[in-house]
Amino acid sequence: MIAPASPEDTQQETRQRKGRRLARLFVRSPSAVIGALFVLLTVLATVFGPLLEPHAATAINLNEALLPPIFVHGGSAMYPLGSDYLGRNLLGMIVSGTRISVDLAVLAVLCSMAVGTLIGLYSGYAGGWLGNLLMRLTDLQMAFPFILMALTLMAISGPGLWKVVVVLALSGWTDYARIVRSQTLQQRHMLYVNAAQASGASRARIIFRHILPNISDSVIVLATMNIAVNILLEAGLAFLGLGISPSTPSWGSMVADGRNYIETAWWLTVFPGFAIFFSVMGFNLLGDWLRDVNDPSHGH
Amino acid sequence: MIWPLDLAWYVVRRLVNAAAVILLVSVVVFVAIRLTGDPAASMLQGVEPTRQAIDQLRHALGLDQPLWRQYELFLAGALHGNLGTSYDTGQPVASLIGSRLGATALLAVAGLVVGALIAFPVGIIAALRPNSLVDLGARMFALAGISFPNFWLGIMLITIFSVALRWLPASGYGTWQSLVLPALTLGLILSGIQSRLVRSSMLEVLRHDYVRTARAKGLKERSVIMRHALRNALIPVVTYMGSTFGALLGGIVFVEVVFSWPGIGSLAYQAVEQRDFPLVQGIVVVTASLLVLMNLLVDLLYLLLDPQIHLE
Repeated sequence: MIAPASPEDTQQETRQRKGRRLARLFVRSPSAVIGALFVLLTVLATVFGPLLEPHAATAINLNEALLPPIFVHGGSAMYPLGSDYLGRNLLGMIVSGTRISVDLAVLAVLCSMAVGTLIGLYSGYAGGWLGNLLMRLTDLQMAFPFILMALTLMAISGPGLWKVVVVLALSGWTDYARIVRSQTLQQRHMLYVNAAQASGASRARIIFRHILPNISDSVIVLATMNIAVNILLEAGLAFLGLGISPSTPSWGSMVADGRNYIETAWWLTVFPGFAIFFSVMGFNLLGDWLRDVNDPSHGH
Repeated sequence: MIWPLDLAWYVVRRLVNAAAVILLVSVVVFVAIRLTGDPAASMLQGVEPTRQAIDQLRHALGLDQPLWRQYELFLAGALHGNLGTSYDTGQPVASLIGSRLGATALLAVAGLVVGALIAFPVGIIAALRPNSLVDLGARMFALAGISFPNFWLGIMLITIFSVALRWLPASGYGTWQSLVLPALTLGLILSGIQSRLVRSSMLEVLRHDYVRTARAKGLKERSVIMRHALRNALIPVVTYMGSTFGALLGGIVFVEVVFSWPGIGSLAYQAVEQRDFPLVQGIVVVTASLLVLMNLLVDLLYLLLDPQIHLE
């Protein structure tokens, strides 16, 4: 005897089918595969970087200062990307910098995603004067010289991990609020929402159990692209000496330090910059592909 | 058709809105600066200040007054064009900013022009062959454009053209040579977003009947694209320009710092480094005002370009 499919079963089945469709589209798209590869490299460096001889990677060794990369005459196999003015291993520094960039970017995305999505859901579903006021705040951001504000906040409050996270999150939440609101407005009058309302579901239940799952795809696309933006912004702040701390080498501060050796040691600026570029490009490629998959009309 | 009276009413409404936004920005920056630390204490850093010295300085700077009173004084001054005096140099903030605006405007225009010179060919070619290899290449170009750290791109251009080839100066102001690298950096960064805008609005326009008619008349493809399609595709490109001003400003700050360009961006960076709060405050308020006004101008330009638009 065949038992009738429960709602959970069908839900799981559609999820599986969706997963298979995504996987099929994914392997067919070279840019998505390349993007995922960059992201994977970045994540691997974040997770396993600290395990690889944590101290040796960035130990100071003045006898080996300013060695060129391995493929240039005078390079050493011990320093594949060369060494800096203190004889630290540039590859090791870049790998350990990955962790800072990615941690900060992801933490900030989580904060701005949570705040922005909540505000978007609320003002889209409930509206009212509070909803309108919150959306007015997102309009304000359009006219806000955000980069100047970020510099000011970091300069006054001093370096610190959570301060950078807050500044990055402040720059990002409005995008989530705007998109979630417009999608919620569309979903609000759909049949399934009417049905849930008629069956007496609470407002919170309708918003989180019914509407949120239906708009989560766009939030994920936005979050992916937002990680890229945050990595760039964090690197920019660190470049200006306004990052988490001057003593922790991050990609941005490495480029800033390398600037002083631009005539003699080009590798000190070139390689950290490529690290930023490839990780950002990875998230952008992946986000761009996700957006296409979710909305086939886009870009065609 | 838009009636002159409607237009006037629309402009007035937008101006009131703009004033409200600028006022709000000034409150935010004013409060943020005072909540996150005592300017007097941080100005006396390094000399091991006594309580008395800090109090004296606070009094001299007016920081011992209640917050609302300080804001009132700032606002009253600002309305008369007085944005206070720089802690660092003692000069009026307004004239410091005024002396830097020209350099930033020059850089912004040059960067936008370089960006457009790259973005239009790339965007048009991509739109003519959608989903081809060329289109994919244009897409990668655009994604690369938004993935480059702008400060790093500037340093790479310096490494190549100033250090290695010795063709162009790495900094300076006043000659055309010194403008080339900063404008190129800014243009390359902007061309990524711009080329996507050109592509999508060209795609939109090319679907229309008048393009088919122009082709059916036997016009040369070149003339169809340049005279018929491109002119109409410009409208959405102009409207979306407003949304790229943020990217433009961010780019300008970093490009000015990297090339020591004597504009608002490098002034802001110096002010922030020196904890020169009146100067920081003045720069944020002036920049916000410029952003708001440029957005308004873009919207008005949109009305002029497309007579079919109705005022909401």
